[in-house]
Amino acid sequence: MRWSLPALVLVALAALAARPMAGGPRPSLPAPVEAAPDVPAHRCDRHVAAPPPPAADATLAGTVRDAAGRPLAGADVLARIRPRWDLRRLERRAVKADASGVFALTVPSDAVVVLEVRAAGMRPIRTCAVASAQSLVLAPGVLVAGTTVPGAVVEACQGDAFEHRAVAGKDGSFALDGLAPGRVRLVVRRDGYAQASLDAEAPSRVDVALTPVGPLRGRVDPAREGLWAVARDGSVSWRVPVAADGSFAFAGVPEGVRLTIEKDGRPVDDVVVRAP
Amino acid sequence: MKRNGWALIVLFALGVACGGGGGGHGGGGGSAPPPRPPAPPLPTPTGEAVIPRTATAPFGLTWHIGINNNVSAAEMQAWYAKMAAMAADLWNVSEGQVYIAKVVIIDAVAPGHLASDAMPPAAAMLDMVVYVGTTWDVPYGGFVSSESGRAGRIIGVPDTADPIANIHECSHMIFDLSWDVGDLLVDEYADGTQDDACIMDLAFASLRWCGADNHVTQSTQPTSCWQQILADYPNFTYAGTNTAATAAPAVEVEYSDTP
Repeated sequence: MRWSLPALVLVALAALAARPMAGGPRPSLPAPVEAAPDVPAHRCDRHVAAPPPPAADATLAGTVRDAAGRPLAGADVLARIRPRWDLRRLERRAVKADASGVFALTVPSDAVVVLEVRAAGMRPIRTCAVASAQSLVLAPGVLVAGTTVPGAVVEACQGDAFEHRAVAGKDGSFALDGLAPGRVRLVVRRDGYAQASLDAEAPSRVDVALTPVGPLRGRVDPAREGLWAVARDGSVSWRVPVAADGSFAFAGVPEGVRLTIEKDGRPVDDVVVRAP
Repeated sequence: MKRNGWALIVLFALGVACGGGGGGHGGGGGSAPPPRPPAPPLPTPTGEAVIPRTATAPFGLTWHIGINNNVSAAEMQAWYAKMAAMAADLWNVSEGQVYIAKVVIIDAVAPGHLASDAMPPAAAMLDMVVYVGTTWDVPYGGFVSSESGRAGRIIGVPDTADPIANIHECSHMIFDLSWDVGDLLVDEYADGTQDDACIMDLAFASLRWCGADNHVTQSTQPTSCWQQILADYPNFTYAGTNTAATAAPAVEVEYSDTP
């Protein structure tokens, strides 16, 4: 095994960090680290403590209802489960609420559990599950619907850290429900098309046209090292390296893109682009 | 004795990370790993990956994001959608003071590279590495490493990373939201999950950074996230709304797609 100077410095720092802290009363540090070999220690985590004996399982149960108290049958409940002895470790478990809106999950009794709950037409919620019985109330959301290319993925960004995604059907229609009223940014993508990004208000109806993309090839004359071919279309651009013989090839760009040849991020104006 | 034992364990782990020449698992003998194809050249990085201490709001960041494997254009666009969502989250939690102005998405930066490996050489010119499929071989949702990166730290995430993991790691990255010594990047939750109203605490229940009103003091974090941000970035303010009054600026994107 080779040892570098930086590695030895890091080891010294790690040993210093292992010393008990001086000063006033503080919560005790975790037990000495027993990092698994596949956990890189340079991404150090003081909270990777020695795993304790396995905790007994506990049942985390609750109900999902709307504001009127009606059960939300079929609501999706996703649990993010982290053991307290290593909070970076993440396990996900999902269940559906039954006809009475009731759900139950088995989780380790010493785990930190965050529930993410979704139901059709309702705004999703995220909550830290600190009690064994959860009473979760969802508020109604609003809808952004429309049409685009069949099979396109439509994603809504609302700044709420929830994934809002729909796939357009065979007729190109899509519907994103459970959104908060107000502004929403839509990102629409489909293989073989340039992505589209646009702002809308929720609720609303939005029709999104996507531009097909195709290959674009050329040859830079004279060729030299370090050149890039850059195709721009509004706020989207594509960049490919120019080969030693001057050739370049884009797998897929829209028609009518603006093409420049660049070096170190700056346009190069003493070359010409020819057909391949 | 116990402390010495721990130091040795850390030493071993660092040896795997730093002395192994890229093989993270230290398998000890056996057949050599399959050769990995060379990575293509990377475009020259531009723009700020992290927020300078003297920055004024609103401040726009440019992130150079490398996907380890060669993926389709659709997969690169999917990652753009995640970054657009994260940009909207960041704009809100920073109360309209920080945004993602541009992302440069490059694939095939380190074909076959594993999350448990030392960072690939290309990482020196990147701000985030995305690990595709089973190359994310570690049991957590994301990390920030001080081992590499254009700004001295770098995010690693799986291609399945969810929005809360992305905004959490982004917060480490752009504000250096950690309070430990040396090269360790730790979280609000260093003493265990105590504060569910902070992105930097793993409860993640609220989309906000903790403030003086709700911070739970821990051994490594004497102040809240917002107190730390305001101390480090004197031109920033905190009104307590945890949301922005205007829509986030659009995120420009540049793709460098290896055929």
